[in-house]
Amino acid sequence: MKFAHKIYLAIALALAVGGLFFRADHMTGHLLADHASTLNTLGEMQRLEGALDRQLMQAAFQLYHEYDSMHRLLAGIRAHAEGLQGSPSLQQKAFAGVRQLLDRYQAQIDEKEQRILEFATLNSVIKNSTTHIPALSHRYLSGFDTIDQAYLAEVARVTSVVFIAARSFDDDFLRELSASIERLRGFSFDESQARAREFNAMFLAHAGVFVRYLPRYKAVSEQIRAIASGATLDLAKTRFLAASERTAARIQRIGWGLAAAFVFSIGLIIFFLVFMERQHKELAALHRSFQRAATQDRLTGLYTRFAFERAQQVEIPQQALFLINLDNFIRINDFYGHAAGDGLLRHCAAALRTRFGRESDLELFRLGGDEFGILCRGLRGDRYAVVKDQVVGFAAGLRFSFRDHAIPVETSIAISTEPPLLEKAGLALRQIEHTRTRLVEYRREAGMEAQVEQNLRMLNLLHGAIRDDRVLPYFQPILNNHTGRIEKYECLVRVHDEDGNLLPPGWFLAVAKQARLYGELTCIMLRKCFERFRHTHLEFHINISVEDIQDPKVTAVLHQLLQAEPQTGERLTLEILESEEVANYEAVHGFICGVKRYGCKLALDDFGAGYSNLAQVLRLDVDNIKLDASLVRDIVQNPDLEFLMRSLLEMFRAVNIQAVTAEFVHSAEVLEKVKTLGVDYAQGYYIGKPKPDLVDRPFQGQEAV
Amino acid sequence: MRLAQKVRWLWVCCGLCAVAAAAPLAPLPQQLDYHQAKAQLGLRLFVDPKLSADGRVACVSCHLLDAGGAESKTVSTGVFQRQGRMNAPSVFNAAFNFRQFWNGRALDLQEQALGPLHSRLEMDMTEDAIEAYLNAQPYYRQAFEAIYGQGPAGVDQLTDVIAEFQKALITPNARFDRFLRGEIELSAAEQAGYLLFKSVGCVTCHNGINIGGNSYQYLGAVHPVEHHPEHGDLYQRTGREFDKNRFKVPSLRNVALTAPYLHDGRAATLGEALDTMAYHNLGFRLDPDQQASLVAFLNALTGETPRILTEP
Repeated sequence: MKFAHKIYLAIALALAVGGLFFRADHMTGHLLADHASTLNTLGEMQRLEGALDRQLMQAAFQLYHEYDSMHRLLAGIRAHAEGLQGSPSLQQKAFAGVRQLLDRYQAQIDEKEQRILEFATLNSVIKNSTTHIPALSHRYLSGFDTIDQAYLAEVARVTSVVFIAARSFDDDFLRELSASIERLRGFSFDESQARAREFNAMFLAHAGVFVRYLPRYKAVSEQIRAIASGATLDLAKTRFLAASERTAARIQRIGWGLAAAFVFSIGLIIFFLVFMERQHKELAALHRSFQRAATQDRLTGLYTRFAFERAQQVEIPQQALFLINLDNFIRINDFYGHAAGDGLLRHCAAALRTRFGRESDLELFRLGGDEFGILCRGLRGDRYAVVKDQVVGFAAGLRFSFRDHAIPVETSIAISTEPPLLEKAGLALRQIEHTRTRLVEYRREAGMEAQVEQNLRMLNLLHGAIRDDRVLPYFQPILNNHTGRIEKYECLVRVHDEDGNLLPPGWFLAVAKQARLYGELTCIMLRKCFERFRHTHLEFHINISVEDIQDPKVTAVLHQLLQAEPQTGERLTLEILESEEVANYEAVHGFICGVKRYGCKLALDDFGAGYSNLAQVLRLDVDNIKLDASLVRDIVQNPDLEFLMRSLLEMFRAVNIQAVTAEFVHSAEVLEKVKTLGVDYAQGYYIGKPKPDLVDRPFQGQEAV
Repeated sequence: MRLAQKVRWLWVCCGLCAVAAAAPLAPLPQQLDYHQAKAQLGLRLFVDPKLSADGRVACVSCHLLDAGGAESKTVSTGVFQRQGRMNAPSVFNAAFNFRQFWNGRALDLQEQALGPLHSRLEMDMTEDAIEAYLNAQPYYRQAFEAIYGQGPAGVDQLTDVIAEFQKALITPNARFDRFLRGEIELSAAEQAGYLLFKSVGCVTCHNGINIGGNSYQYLGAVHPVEHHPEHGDLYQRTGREFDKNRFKVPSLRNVALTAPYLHDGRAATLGEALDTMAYHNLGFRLDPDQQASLVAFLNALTGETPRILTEP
């Protein structure tokens, strides 16, 4: 899974869990609040209905009682019931049963109200008559003087029965009452008994009220009691509690879901953390090993150049770098094998550690294949001189033996105190290669940096010259000692700067070699010289290096020219530098055979300057040998050279070398001497300096400049 | 469940605080809370005869505000001189009645207000005619919009403001109320009347804050009266034999101001009314002393003119 996806997943989970949490919380809050308020309302309704029933009892019991309270209580019950019906919490499906019961309850309350209103009517009537029946006897007592006792007894009976019936709500007494009423109606009153007659009429009217209304009064009272509104409310409450519990259970399930999701999220986070921690550990280990590999040399255990450069990123003043170069390391490596080379390096490192490892202000590095560095921090007092002496002493005393062979270790030491230390020390080391001393201290005034500048300038010039066709062949005449004529020219590569000034060949050739532009120069020379000599009869020499021979670009150009212009090619002599090492002998030999087929000749240049391997020379099958300046320059003064020359010429003749040319013929005496010795050709400033044009003429002695 | 227990405990506590039994009669409050703007607009409409079919009958035509909220006619005269069948009950303190009309067919004042408006014998207005009239009058239109917001005024708004006006029509501080509050003593006659009022049984029906107006009772409970089908008793609504001559008990407040009496105005004076009630409903004949005492007591039930009518 991608990292982003993990993040999205985590966010989604967090949102889901959060949402679930708030939903559950919200639901719980609502449930609790609704639950409390609904139960409260139901309880309040029960209380109000209880109060209503008490009002009814009071109304029935007391002779007079206000009816306002009943209406107020009924209105209160109705308002609560309607409020519950309309409450949002009861609209949920789970509470449909409760709503149904509330509907039933409201219908029951409506019914109850109707009955109560009937009750109120009958109650007033019955109670009034109940009070009036004894009151009438009192009111009309004065009229009872002449009434017989039987009538009075009947009135008393009715009074008693009415009281019992009214108070007992028992209509069983009505038959007795009715009988009494009939009897009372049967009594007749004469004129003198007008008040008694009036009493009788009033009394009968009131007694009739009981016969008329008491059964209904009793029935209505029972109907009111029979209305099961209280039970309905109880049932509604029970249902509500059950539904609430179901809802609570649902919320609890959500809660479980929430907990599960939470645990899962935590688990996931822990998993990611553990996973990341493990990865982090692996990465950290990898990082450490990389760092070790980068900063510590595997072979010697010393710090690497990388570590050195990293340490040098912060510039610290007062430091010195002692660079010890094993001069003959490559030769030891080649000669004794890599095991010896590695052994030498290990030995040097061990020796360095033994000698300098304990000094707290010194650090040891392996800075290159065969370079060790000692970094000295904090140059106080004579510390620099002390360390320098120690390092020099160490290098001189370095001994190494391989399989009981004592191998001499040649070292050179470069010291730099100027940042960047390594670069400056490197410059100093190159100085050593030039000067062949053993110890060089970097100095700004030594022009080491100027040399680098010069090189870069030269490289620019060279590139410019190639681009702008300012690479030109110069021609130096070669004199045929036998004919006294200039018959050949050595073509030398010269470069003009932008102002047309000639660049010193020693400078740019070295740069060209370093920058691998040498082959390019050779190609230009080949093309231009072929062009120049095409329409002459003159022979010409062109220098070609072993590297050129191995450069397919150069050989391609050469072969193409030879093929295209065989007549010109026949007059070409290629000069190979004798001093250059012929690493790939077969390739060189093949090249020689190849060009010889076109009639080209081959010369060995600067013979006697380097390590002359005669056997190799002979095998190369050259036509021409050019004797180095070191053999020719002092030949007049030095009889040994003359002897050497004589012997060489004899040997060359013996191995069938066709022609020998003496270089550096700088005076008439030298020319005379080489002529006398039998050297075939002579070349040098005395014969002619290199010039951009050709002369074809007999040699008249040193030309006027 | 713990919560359920808590709630149960709570309402048991409430139950313990149940109100003790109230006295049979109670004084009026000084004032009911009402919406000032609505009541003022209600007053305007209450006296507007244009709300009738012939443009001559307003609410106030039969419910005179300077005559106890009722009128002196036996029965009311509606539009085009149409004669009604019932004596106009008082609009004062009507807010305390448990139902409205003689037979209680309206549950509240707002519902009641529609009755006369639509009745053929009274104002005889259709709903459309009412709304057309209200919305054609810039004053009403603005006044209704000020109360109910944008939109045309309807019958609901009309009855709402009239009902609100009637809430303001209460007559506090009758001598009897002040007596109940312990502020004054009743005169001997009043006191005797009050005792009679209770002892002969008037109070069994005329009780509560409005001294009536809280139950249905028979006219002629003891000595029945003739039943007239055209009279608006409960029988007219239900058709039940039980409901014949069964009426809402009228309030006795300001009764001295609202002659004639009974649902059809059959009793021209208080004395007549008392005699009728004594004979038919209480089954005895009042003697003159008793009647005088009761009249004295009933006179003590006259309250102050509603404040909304005296305010500038």
